[in-house]
Amino acid sequence: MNTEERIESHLKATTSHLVAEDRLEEVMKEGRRRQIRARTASVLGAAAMVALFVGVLSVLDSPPGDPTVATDPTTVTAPPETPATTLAPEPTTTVVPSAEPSGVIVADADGITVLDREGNTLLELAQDGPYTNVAWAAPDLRGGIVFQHETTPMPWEQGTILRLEAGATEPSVVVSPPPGSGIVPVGTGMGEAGQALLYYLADTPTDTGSESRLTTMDLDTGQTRDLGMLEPNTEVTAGGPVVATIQRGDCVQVSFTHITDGPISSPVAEECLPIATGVSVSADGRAVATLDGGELTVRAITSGDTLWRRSVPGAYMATSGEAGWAVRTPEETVLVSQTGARSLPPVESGWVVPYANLDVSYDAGLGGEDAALPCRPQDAALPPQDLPPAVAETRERLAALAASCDYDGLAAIVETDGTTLSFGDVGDPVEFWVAEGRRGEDPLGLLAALLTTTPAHDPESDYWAWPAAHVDPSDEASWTELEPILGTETVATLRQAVEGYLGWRVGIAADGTWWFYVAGD
Amino acid sequence: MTALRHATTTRLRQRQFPDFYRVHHQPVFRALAATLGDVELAKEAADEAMTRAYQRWSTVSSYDNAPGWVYRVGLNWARSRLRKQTREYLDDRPPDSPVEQPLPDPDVERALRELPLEARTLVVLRHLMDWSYEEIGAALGIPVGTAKSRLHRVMNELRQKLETKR
Repeated sequence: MNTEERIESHLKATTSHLVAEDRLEEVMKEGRRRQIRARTASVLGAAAMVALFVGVLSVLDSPPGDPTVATDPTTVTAPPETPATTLAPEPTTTVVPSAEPSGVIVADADGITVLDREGNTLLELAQDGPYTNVAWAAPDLRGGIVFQHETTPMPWEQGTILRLEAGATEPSVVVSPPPGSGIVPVGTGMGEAGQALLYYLADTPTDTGSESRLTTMDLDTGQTRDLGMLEPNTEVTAGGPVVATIQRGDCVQVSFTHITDGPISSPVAEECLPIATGVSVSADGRAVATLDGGELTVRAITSGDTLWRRSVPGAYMATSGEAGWAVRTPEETVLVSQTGARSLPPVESGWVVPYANLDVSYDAGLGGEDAALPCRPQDAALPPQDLPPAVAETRERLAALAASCDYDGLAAIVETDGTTLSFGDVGDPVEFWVAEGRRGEDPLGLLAALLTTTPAHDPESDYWAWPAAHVDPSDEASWTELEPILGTETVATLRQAVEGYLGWRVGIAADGTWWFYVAGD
Repeated sequence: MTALRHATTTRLRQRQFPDFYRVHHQPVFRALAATLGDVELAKEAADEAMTRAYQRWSTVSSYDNAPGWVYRVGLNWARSRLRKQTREYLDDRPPDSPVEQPLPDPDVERALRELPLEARTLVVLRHLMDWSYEEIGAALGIPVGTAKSRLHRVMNELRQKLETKR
């Protein structure tokens, strides 16, 4: 047996019995989570996609009080003192679909943030312009988000409801109020035929004040339907094809209407609920949730039966959305569904709504493709340079990928080569570059541009650096080369550093490994 | 053998990530275990690398040697992790054997342990994974000629060590 055969035999003998657990599902799940973190908020919970059920939003003003809501004696109620995050699922009569919410959309002065069920931030739409100062948001049931600003920025009309569709890079107008009028969003809901419906109130001034007409719009076709005038001092909430109107007097009285079939007979409508009770119609329009005294009770609208309930100590607001309710307390936001409760970070101000399925492009966070994309495709032509073949090959690959804004391709090289992108913790390279883009940098464009400059070889570490000034600060020609790329002022500032050029630079090792693309020291 | 593997890889490109995982997960893990000398670290590294492959599957699946990419990512991840743990023994200290049973050839094991990581990587890819120089070059991101000459040097070194022990 020769040496090669001995080595081969030994290696195979020492490893053939080794078995790693099949973790395909976990790997794909984690991969999906990272994809989402990097670029989209999407596809969390395949089961949730199957059974989308949509609730419409209702702000419930419920200070703590006695839990006096009607109960079903067959329903087991969790002890009020039990922390919301540890509540066990309760026995139920299955009416409400058991799809799980994937997380929540948070809308506030900073913009729109999408959190997953663990409270991780999946996406932030926080750029100046389209997403600042958002007052209300809801899933559009097609993977996107509809929202309205507190103060609508130009060029949209004040009070416009906008929609960021799945995969879109910028929002589009859903409805704008006529001059002098206002629009108050109520929520989104899934119609019986699967339509994505938006409910809103159109406020019109009259001689005696104003009137509010409840309107529903099919988000797929844009068709609207007038559901009638809302009586004064009446609140409204909706879910699926059902609208609930709420009147608060000595107690709370709720009535239900099917948007095509008319009034719905319900035992709940005959009750006089505690004055502080908040009301929210469930996703499919078949159940109504009431929040009172820190207890969320879900009841069938037609029978009045209690389906399930959960105690959320300190809860003061509940919002229904796809697949569940977001219940807010001063300490946490609890994502509640029929099958469980998840504790998320608290939201002190702003709007919170559950979602089941989002597919929002991270590009949208940049304010639209023409507004602030961190990378614009450009000419990939490189001047020839006298380099070792491996270095030249890597240079050409990097320049081509950067010029075509291929974040993925560059990130793959970073991962294989262990490229240093920062002297701090970078995490996902794509996220890092996108974040740089948001700060006004153009990391990929700059990478392509730097690779057109004259390099220098560092014999000590055996690598090539672009620009040459990084290796040899006395190389005047290199500094001059940088001026059209970085600007004369920036170059002048960089020249003041005693350590030499510490601006963005690229390093490729002699064997072609992409060593670094960093700035600073 | 190589042609068959290339054909298999090409077919896999047409399929989905689960097919790729089922075919390549164990071989990549074993190669990492042999290289790193740490079975548990190799498992984690293989999982991490497979996760990254799935994350960028549309790009990775087009690579000439996608399993090689996964191996390299796993190896870099493991090295980075060890560095962070200030356990930088990979280049300085020989790894443990991936097996906890009598070694079939202790001299070979010792000689492999004495190799620097980069050299051990070449030997594992060539003699455990049966990869061609082209595949090794693609996996490690080095030119084919470099892979060939480096492996030649390493094998000469091993040959000298092992033959003097006979």
